[in-house]
Amino acid sequence: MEINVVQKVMKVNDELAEAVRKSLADAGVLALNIMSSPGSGKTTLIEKTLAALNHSIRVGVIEGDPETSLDAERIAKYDVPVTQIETAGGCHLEANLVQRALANFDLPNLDLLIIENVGNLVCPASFDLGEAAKVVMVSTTEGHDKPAKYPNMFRKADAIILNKVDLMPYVDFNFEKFRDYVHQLNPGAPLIDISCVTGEGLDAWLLWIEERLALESAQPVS
Amino acid sequence: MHEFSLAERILECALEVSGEHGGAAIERVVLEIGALRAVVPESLKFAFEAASMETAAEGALLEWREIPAEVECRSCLETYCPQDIVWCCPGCGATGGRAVRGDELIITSVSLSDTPCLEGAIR
Ligand SMILES: [Zn+2]
Repeated sequence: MEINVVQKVMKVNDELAEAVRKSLADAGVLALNIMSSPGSGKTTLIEKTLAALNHSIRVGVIEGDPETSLDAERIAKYDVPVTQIETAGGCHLEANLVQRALANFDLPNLDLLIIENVGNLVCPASFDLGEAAKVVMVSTTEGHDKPAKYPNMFRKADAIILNKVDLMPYVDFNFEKFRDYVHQLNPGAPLIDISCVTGEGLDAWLLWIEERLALESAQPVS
Repeated sequence: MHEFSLAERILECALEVSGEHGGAAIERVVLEIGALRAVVPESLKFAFEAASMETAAEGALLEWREIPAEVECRSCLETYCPQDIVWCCPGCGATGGRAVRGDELIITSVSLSDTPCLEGAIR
């Protein structure tokens, strides 16, 4: 007996992601899902962002990692609410994990929620977490061909960050090629070059966040 | 790696169908997998076989049909099948665009055994 079903395999995740999106919108919180491979500097970027904002914006952070709470401990030093999600080896965050983590936050008292996804350039792109925007980060030490190798991730990004630009003279990184790949894959997303060490480009990143926050608060709460 | 979590979702859906039919044993699950889904079908099959052990889906065949990508051009609104990882419109040459097909991950059918499975669909 063959039974025809058209079941979206992702349905459960997508429904939960919508619920997360609604809770965040109701509370007026902008959620950013930051994705990258391990070691490109997501946690450092979040630290620099928190330091620069210096509590002018109320920020909460969700840290996703396969194991350990080391990153959450780093973020907690900035005196912001932080929740660690350990995926027990899982290679990406899913909406149910984010929904559970939201219970640890006082959402009406937040403006911005930064979600640091598990370091991986493949699967995080496939799971909607209920975020308002996806940010993809790569670093110069990883090589300029990352966009060509992981096109899906770059196509879905609302902003693309290139980190460690201070190391560009010392590594094999062709900036023009990288920029062309990114632009061809995703002509609409801004490319923000930064160095978390020298602070170069951080202003552009903070400005982008400000613009997204303004966009978020301009939207009527349904 | 994410094939394992997808396999579990597929198994849940299939067991639900089996449950609606008295817990009949599952013989076959057919999927549509979009080219843009970043799913390796062989890994998915392996993960599904592992996840379905000791359930009503143990030994079930996982089959799939691949759905090619189709993109709508962001400037001339033509749809086309991209030939390269860079989506370049054959009509006007614009890059980028919006995927209208190829993001599927769908169970289209579940085949159940006609002889009832006494163990039922309980995992
Ligand atoms: Zn066109």
